[in-house]
Amino acid sequence: MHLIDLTNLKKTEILDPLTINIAARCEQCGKCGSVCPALIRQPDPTSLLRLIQLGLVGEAIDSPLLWSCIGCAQCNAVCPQKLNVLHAVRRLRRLSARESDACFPRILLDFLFG
Amino acid sequence: MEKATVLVVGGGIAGLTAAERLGRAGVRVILVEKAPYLGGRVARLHRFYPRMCPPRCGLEVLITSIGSFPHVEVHLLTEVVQAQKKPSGLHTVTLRKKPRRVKDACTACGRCEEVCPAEKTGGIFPGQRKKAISGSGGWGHPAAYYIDERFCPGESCSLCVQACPEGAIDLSQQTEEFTIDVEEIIIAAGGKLYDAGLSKEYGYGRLPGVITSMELEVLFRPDGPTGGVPRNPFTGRSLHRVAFIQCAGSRNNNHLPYCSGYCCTVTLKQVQYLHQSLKDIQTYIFYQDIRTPGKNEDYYRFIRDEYCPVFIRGLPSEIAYEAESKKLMVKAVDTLSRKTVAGKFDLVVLAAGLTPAALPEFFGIERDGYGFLSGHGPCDPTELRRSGIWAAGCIQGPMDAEGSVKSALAAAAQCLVRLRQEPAVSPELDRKKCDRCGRCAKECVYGACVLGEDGYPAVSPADCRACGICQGGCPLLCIHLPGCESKNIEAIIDQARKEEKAERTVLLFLCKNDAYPAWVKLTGKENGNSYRGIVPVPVPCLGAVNPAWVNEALIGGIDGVMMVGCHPEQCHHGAGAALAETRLQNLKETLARMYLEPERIFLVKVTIDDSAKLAREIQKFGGILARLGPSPFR
Repeated sequence: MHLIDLTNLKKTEILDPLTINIAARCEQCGKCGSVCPALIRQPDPTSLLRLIQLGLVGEAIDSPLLWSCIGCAQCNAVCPQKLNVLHAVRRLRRLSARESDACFPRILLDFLFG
Repeated sequence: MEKATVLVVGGGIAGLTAAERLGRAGVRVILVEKAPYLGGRVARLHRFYPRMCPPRCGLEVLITSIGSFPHVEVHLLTEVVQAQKKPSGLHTVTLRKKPRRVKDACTACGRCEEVCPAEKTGGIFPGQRKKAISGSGGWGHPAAYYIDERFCPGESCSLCVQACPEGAIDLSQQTEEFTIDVEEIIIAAGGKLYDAGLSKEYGYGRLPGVITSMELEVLFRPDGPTGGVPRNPFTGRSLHRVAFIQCAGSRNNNHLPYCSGYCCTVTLKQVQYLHQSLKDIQTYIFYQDIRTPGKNEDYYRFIRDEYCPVFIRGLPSEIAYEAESKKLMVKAVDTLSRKTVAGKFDLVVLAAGLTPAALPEFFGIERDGYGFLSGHGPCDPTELRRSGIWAAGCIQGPMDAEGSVKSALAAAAQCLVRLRQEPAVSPELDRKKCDRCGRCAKECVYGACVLGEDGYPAVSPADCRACGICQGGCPLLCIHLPGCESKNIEAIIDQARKEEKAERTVLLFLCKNDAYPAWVKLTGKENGNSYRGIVPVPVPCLGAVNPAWVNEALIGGIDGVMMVGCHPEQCHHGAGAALAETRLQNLKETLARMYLEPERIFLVKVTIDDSAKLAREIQKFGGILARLGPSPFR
């Protein structure tokens, strides 16, 4: 099993302060995860924020959810901490598109075109 | 106010608060503390949450105030050996005072400690040793040093006597025992931290760098061993990554099944200490649930937003020491992301729970399942069902300093109330009939009924709560509560028998606290006509009903006796409802031998708001009696 090194959580540096703050203040209550209407919730928004909390930004950037999100902002509406979850998703999507080998995710291509 | 004597057991924040308030009220107080210094565990803390003020400031105020009262006596190094209640209501308490062997002239210069050749365990950190003569290690009341007689070689060594410039050391002091009579006792004996070494997987006491949260406090104190600069107390290395492990032994069926309630907030406070005093620091919290009740939630949010500690929801199964890097390896599963996480830390802090302090058994006080004196909550948390004895502080259950102070104030208030209140109506004894069987004293739930030297029971009026459990148990009907005595019952039975119009007569014993209001509500609504033939008899508690009355009623031609009381676990007097049940069971067996149907006695448990159930049960009993037919003695 992949072991996460807790003492090396420095990969969050490519994120903007607002996203880091959103992730840090997330209580992991799971409301955004349960309200999200995206068809492919891999992972759900709650777990996405958890990945950032654990410094697994690379994994977060690769997640298919970013491309399945329709930007309805229901996650923001239900958040008990009044966090802008959508901002974090959008920012990660932007970072993902900026990668040198960026392409439309395989899982979505399979889903759309069989 | 008349000067009364209150014994306060324990000189921690709860005991000091209670003693100081009572002292202010003019009450004569004797405070005993087992340790050589006052202040208890609070004196070892660095800061209180959430205001981050030094705890010793509050202690200083209390101790100075206590010192200014001539009627408050403080005995250090003193333990309660035995406590007995006398028929007069006073408690006779035997105390044992261990010798300090250092007189008040001591200026805490420390020269004796330098020359002392004897060492003992019990340093601040696990495995550390200290000298047999030692001071409080910083702030301490009193300032004088203390010689642990178990480790001191005594007068054969006398190096400290020669070293002391003040001549303050007296090695000839011996243990003394003395007895005092007190009216009331406040037990503020506190608690002790659960032994973190018992959670073997965390390696407390074995691995250098694993400490408890209580020990971490000392690292920040300016008068502590590191001068307020936190570092690894074993290796002296600086701290960069610190892991906190919550619930170390708590909420665990192998250790303490309960939650101590304050440890989460303490950890958050210590995260704040670390980030405030060190620049290059990362903190990690391994937890099951962060429990910061009430307003402490604000503090949790503040810490999380301000210092961003990494919260890992999952407890480590093991801590390993890496000799090469001199760091501690902690591995856990983060149950939120379902990933295994691991890290190397300079220091691991265990949040150990709290257990009750050891107390002599002879107080005769009921303890809860965990050994705490939790009282009769929620209505009366200081009520221990031992009149004149109150509990305060962590002996009641795990609590933080604020909770301890609150409970100490409550206990002090209860003391004053008892000193001033009008005594309740208490039972009277017919000494001519009494055969000194002692059952009343044994069954008295408040310990108010005590056997005197002549063997006759005596009830101290200030302690009696007029529950009548003694009269319910007396085999000879010789102890009775005024207003609820056997003669009245005979009159009621006679009265009931005369009601010949009714189809059948039933005696209905009702507990005054709960069942009687339910009955009043029931008959008030349905104007009582449908309950003809039922004679209600309110009693202080079902435990006050003597089985002899029931027997007499049935033999006297009453068709049935219905007893309505509380659920045993809800009984206001603790044991009343349960005692009534046992006594009735015995009576039923006797009746069966007399060929009288035991079904003629009917025990019902209702709550104060359940008149509907009472109505249903009366119907049911009516049905049973209809089946049995009229009493053969009618």
